[in-house]
Amino acid sequence: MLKLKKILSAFIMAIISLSIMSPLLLSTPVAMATDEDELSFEMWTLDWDTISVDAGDVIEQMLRDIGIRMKAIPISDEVLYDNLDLEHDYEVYEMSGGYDPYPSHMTPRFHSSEIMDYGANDMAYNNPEVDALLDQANAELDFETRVELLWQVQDLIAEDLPYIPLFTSDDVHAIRKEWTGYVCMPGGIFNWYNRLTTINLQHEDQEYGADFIMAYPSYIRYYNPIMGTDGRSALIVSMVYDDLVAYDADMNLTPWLASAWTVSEDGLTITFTIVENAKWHDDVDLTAEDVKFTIDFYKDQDVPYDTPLMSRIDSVETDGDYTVIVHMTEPYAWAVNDFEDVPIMPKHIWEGKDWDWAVHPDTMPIGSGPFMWDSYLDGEWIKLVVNPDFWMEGKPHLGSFLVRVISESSARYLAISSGEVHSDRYELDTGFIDTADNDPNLAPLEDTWCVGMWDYYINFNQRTNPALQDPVVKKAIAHAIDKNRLVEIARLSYGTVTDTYITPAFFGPAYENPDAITYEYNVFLANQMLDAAGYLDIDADGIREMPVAVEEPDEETPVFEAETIEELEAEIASLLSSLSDTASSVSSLESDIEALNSRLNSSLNIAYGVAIVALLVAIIAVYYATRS
Amino acid sequence: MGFKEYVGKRTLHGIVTIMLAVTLNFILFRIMPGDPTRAVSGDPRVDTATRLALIAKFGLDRPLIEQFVLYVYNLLRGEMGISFVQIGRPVIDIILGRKMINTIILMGSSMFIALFLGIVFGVIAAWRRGTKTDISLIVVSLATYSMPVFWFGMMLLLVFSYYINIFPIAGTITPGIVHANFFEYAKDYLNHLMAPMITLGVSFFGGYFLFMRDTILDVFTEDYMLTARAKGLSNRKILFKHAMRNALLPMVSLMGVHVTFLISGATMTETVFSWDGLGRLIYDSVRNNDYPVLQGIFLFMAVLVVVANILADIVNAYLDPRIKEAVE
Repeated sequence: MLKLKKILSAFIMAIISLSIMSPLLLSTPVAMATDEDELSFEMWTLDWDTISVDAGDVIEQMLRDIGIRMKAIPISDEVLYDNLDLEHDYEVYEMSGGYDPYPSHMTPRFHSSEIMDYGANDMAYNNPEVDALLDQANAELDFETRVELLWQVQDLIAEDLPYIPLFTSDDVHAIRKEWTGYVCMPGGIFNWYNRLTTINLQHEDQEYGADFIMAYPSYIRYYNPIMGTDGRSALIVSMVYDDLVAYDADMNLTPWLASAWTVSEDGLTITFTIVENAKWHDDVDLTAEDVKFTIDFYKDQDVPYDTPLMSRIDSVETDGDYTVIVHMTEPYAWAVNDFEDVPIMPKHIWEGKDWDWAVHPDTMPIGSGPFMWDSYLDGEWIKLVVNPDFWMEGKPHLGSFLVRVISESSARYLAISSGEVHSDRYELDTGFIDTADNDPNLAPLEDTWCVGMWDYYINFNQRTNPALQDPVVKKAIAHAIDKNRLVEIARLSYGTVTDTYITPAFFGPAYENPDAITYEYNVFLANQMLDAAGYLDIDADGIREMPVAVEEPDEETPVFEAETIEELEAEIASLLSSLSDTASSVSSLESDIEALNSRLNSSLNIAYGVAIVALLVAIIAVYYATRS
Repeated sequence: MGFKEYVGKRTLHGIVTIMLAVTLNFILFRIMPGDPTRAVSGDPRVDTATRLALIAKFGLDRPLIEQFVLYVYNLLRGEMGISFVQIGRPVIDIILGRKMINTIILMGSSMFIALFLGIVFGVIAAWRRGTKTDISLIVVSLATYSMPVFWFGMMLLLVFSYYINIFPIAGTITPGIVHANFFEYAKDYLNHLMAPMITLGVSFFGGYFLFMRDTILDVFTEDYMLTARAKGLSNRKILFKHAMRNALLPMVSLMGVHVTFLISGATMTETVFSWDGLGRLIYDSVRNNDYPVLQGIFLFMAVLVVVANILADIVNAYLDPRIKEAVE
């Protein structure tokens, strides 16, 4: 009896596994067959990012108007990034890249040296002219000339369109209305390069000494200032540590720890003058030695951060206590900008340490910034208090800055609305914008509305589908997308449409090129371009087909023996009829494929049904077998 | 087969199971999609050079088999590696710290309350089977049992932390203040504990209640109940001395299985209330691809399940004469 049971259950298991496996084995080739010669693409969006998903769905709809099927598929970031880093065989994706305070994204995104595993040039865009111009721009010290070079780069890219810029999702913040003094800067009122907000923030009834509480979605990652580049750690790092330079509200460089700097004419020597009254939080004076130490530290230990800058620095020397002279190996246009990202570290603490030293919070990260490390509870909160000896007169205004972890986004919003915390590290999720707009406890959203640092774009892989290598298709797509409508739907109008690759709204009006190549919303034009390029909808299913490969005319020119117009017309008529024959046979083939497909689908369904029934039978059988 | 041999055999089985768990635990994270260097940098805009350096630093460019040998070797030395996300912090420190205590307190208290109420009301409902009390209790327990726990938690948060401000909105302790003494601290902690504890207690209650009611009803059909009644014992004595004690045996086995909840925590509830426990650590680590921490927690949980099961078997074999006889 027992043996019988075992045999029975083994048999059932075999049936189940077979019936489950068979559809899986069959299903792969089916999906590939029909899409091959149509303008039909898979566009990946980021599943947790509602803006990316919503914009993707809208784009899919818009492109139907020009006969392109752009299937928007939300996908998890693990799968997406794995593909960008290693597999490189996606077709299209639509999500945000992210700006730095100066246009440092151009070289990684477009330079062919970044076509590699883990490289930033995802789409494998390779244009030697662009490479040369980018190299030239990175070495060009004169700002005006550099911007003109970047205009040329953008025009070249706009002709090839490896990606189409769409919009930036703007930063609207929920902050309680009693707080003033925050500075709106592209990237938001709270950001690691927005050093002005944290020193100017104050309570409306209390100019100095008020306690500010900010909600974080999760705890910071690093206490180490070099590695703290993620959004949460970087804000804390920017408050505890100082950099040599900073940005003002219009994204121009302003003095910070360096009260002045000069760049020599050949670009090989940069001289920084350090403020004289700066002190470390443990009361040691901050001098040029510390700055020299920091730069040497990066270079000696091959710190893998800020490499574009550090690899171009030859040596550093000090002249007195408050002058630092940096010698470059080659002229580098963005050298001073890059120093904005280098936290100056105390020599008397970091000497002899490794760059990835896990600064233990109990020993209190010592910096020179406006706030000092006070206390913390790992995973829950961090308290910074004001640095009374901060070198800038009368700053900061706050008394303390408390960071509190609240994991859940609705809980964060409720906490701000009820006053338990005062603002959030990040901008409002799109879902909360309407509620926040009507909340009497919050500052009006217009006051906190800054251009966002997250730039959304559609990226076309230049390796996979041949249609995506044809600029005409991409230009037609660019014409067919109504970016204003995208912003309205995906970000409830709190976004900025981007037409160029260096958005003047973010990087400043100096980058505005009045003659830039842009693509306005024009569905009619898009359709015409595709028609002219031979992308026609032959089988009338609403999706254009790839142009049929045109045979070389000099080899197969139809020989017209006709002498008169009438004979010529007859010839043409016969040619036309043979063409229509071909078309009809193509469409009958298509319908055959369709029929085969549906048969296959139904057999798949049957297989799954059998599997489920087999499973049920097995469960019942096991139940009866064990009951005895 | 003696009792000692039985114990030895179960232990051996346990060790084999744990070794399997170690292997699976390693493979699981290697075949999962996702790039840990994004976890390490935490920022999609990080430089290519930086990312390549971090990959090499963590040995992620080495062959899989080499990584596995290293992993097992380090485990034997008691090393679980360092977190990708909180660089420099050993995984063991992260798991066996305050987070574990927070989770044990939250899960322990809510399971205790749910168990207590489940047993009491289970007995009452079984005794008054078919009456209005029984039916209304069943309806309530089914409702709480099938209610999504995060939804209930958010409703509690909305009502008791926002509209009537009696519970704090997040965390395990009021941030940024120094407590005068231990009692102040405990008071503050309890205040923070209330809302998540109620949420979890309510969500556990239904299961225990239904289980208890059913076992008591089973016990009622036993012959010894008839005997007890025939002896003329009072209802109270029959119910609490004869029925409940026998019905508690399966309940204790169930508790043995549920002990692992003490550690795994309640991811949803801990996230809604920002309770800094292991459940939220799992949530954060999954979101940030923090493989070393996840590996550590899963291994820890696997070991705990195996050990708890062995212990439960041994204790059962020791306590229950019927099982003991079968073993010997």
